Amino acid sequence: MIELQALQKRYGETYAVRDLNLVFAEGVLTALLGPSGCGKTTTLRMINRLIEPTGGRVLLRGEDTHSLKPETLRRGIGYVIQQIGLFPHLNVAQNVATVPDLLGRPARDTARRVDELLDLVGLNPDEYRHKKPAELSGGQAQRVGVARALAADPPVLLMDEPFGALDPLARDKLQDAFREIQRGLKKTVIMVTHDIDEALRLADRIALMNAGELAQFGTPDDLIHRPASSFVRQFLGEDAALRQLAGRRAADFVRPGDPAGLPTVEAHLNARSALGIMLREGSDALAVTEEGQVTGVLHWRDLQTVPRLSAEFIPDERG
Amino acid sequence: MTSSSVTATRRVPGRRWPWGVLVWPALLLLCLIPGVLPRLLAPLNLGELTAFDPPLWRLTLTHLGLVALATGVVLLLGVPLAIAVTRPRREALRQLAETLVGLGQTVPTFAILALAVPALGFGWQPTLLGLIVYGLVPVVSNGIAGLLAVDASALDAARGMGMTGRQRLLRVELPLALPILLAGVRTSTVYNVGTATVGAALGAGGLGEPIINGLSQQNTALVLVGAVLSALLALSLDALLGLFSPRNQ
Repeated sequence: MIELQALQKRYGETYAVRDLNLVFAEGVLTALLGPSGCGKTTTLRMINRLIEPTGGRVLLRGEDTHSLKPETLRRGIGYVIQQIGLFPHLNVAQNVATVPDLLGRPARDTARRVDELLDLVGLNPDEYRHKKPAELSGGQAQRVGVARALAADPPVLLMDEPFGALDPLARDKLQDAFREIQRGLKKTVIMVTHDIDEALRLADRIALMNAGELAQFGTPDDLIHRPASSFVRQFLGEDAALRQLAGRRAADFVRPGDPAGLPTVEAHLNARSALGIMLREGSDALAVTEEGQVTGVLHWRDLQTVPRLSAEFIPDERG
Repeated sequence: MTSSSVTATRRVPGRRWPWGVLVWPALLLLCLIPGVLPRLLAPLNLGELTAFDPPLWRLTLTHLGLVALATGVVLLLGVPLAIAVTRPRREALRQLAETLVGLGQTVPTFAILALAVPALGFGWQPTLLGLIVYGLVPVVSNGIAGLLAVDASALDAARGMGMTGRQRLLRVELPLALPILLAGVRTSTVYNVGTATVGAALGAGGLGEPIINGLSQQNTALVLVGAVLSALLALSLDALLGLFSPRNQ
């Protein structure tokens, strides 16, 4: 879908991004992860040409983005930023309608689309349509930001630390909401983040960058279990596997089995809590319950491989 | 009953009803009725007021016309200037413009008028020039301030969503800069009502005429007539322009 070929950005003698080769597959959420100053935001902004590369190419569906007008390119790519950047003089509906308006779509279609999107991001259209950005909380504002980016139904979504400015509670809720949205829409998402938990929680693939170069590209499992360098291992931390489990529900690991005599775990708890229960109870299997009903069994060995959002893209290497 | 009280309380807090919009123009019109001002000023015993020729309403209209024309030209010059110097990578140009425009305010108006006479002759032309030079200051500096105050993240989002430079200007920057810009226009206009009285010395007419005549004839009542009317005109314009400035942002 999007291919970076020997992409480079140089400021004088220093390289912000150097010889970057990456393929972002269609329908996959890729996190551009790395410490600050590693070039991840520069990389993102070169994709929609907010920053012009000093070398290399960006291909969108095989077409060099340099052959397009920057405005045309950007209208076809959703854009979400940490500071949200809603237009304070326009109401929520007008904000969401920005790109459809730029594309000259009929107002009536756009109005319907705006309502759909507000519903999708969990805001009641009747309540929020006419509100001004100043009347929204941070979480609500970024929900509008996501709706605005999706308004023209772009196949690609660029997100620059989209949940970074929110308080932990709002961030968790919005991450969950976005995961559900992405599960349904299957956009090609490129998300810049410095938050390892966020990357592990949301991303199908992670491109870990360091000092302008790619340190490792792969599934979260690849990075956790097969780090390519000591930098990757250090950056993810020794507890990366636990963090990954924290982003999954116990229900994701359920398989049929005999629950007799096993300690129980609520299905909505995260998998790290499930592991904690196993350690406490000295058991390598738990009975998963939902509203008092046992739905299946969770095995310790299953926690070693974490199911992804888009399982079809992940080669099963562990057997 | 209930619904009317709801609308009353829903009016933006802190924004009182702009009664000045009615009061000041009404007072101005009242004072323009022949005989009203002389009768009001008579008890003060400041001087004889004979019939005005040209009549006061005409002087007021001349004055208003001069100020309106100056404001129009100021907008035509000042807004594009403020826009031009706030584009990216034009910091040097912006500083130059602010300095030059600021110079207009430091030079006394009277000096500008006097300097313009040799070039433009007597009459309304040098006065108009003075008003434009003087009126540019608040419009350009407020325009620049308003455009620079536009939230950088809103502009980044606008660019990232594919707005052209022109669309960003028209859809994002100007609407957001408008309240500050309008405040500058208001200041400029109100100042110029006062400044325009000086123009009478150059034969521009307007409400400076009774003031100048009063000074030369040592007739304080005549000076007061010009002063009261130009003050009421300034207050009226201030109140009217205030209607346009959104204060709830």
